Amino acid sequence: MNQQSNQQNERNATDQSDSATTNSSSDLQAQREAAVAALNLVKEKKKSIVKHLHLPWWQDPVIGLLMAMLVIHHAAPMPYDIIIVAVGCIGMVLVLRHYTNQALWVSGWRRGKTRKLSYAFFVIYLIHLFGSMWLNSQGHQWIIPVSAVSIFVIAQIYGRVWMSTWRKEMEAEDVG
Amino acid sequence: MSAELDPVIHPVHRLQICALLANADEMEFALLRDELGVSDSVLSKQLKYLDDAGYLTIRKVPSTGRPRSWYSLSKDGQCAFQKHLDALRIIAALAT
Repeated sequence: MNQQSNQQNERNATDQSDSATTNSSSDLQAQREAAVAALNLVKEKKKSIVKHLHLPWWQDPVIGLLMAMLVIHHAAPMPYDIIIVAVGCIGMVLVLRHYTNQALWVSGWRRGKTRKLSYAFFVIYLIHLFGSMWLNSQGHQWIIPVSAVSIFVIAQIYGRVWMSTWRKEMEAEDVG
Repeated sequence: MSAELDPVIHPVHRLQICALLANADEMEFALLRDELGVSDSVLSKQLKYLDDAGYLTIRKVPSTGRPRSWYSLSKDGQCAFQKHLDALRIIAALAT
């Protein structure tokens, strides 16, 4: 009788152990599914951002024009020199204010590949600024229109490449 | 690395808010509401949870009618969201 009872207990314990293993395994599976679902949701939201960033058509040309003014200001006589710098800076502030008052905005200096592009563009701007100042002081006046057109064109290219890089990053499969 | 999920971020609406704000510098209230597909009151409640935890930065601009509000993740919020993502990745990988 006792032997039968012991065998029954062992069977129950084995059944409970199997049941516990199944429960633990299904809990783990459920946790995994919830985590995968959460990661997919994060990925989906990251991708959805792309359609909400709208840049007006005039933004890049205006920025290019303002940068061109800031690059060649030194060629103008005083006090036009100061006036050009003031107009350039105020214009930049107004463009930035318009941009940051949209429903969504992303900084050009955000982390990622786009930051490298922004640093590269900033360095190119400085090269244009100081290069044109130096060459103009050496009597090479042709540098004024050349540097103005050059920084304008580079600003348009930078704007497009930045946006394309950012879109690719947002649409990438990793969640960040 | 431990797999501790952040209870403030874990609920689905707050997870979505953090996922959106982690990839933008600032996002306006109305756009967040439309993107989540919830009412103003539901979104306000979820944002308050995040704000109380110190995970949000809010910028309000006076406007005709209601002031417009922009939200972004604070440094603490970015850090907490990144840890939460790491924990989710660990759970997803451990159980395979």
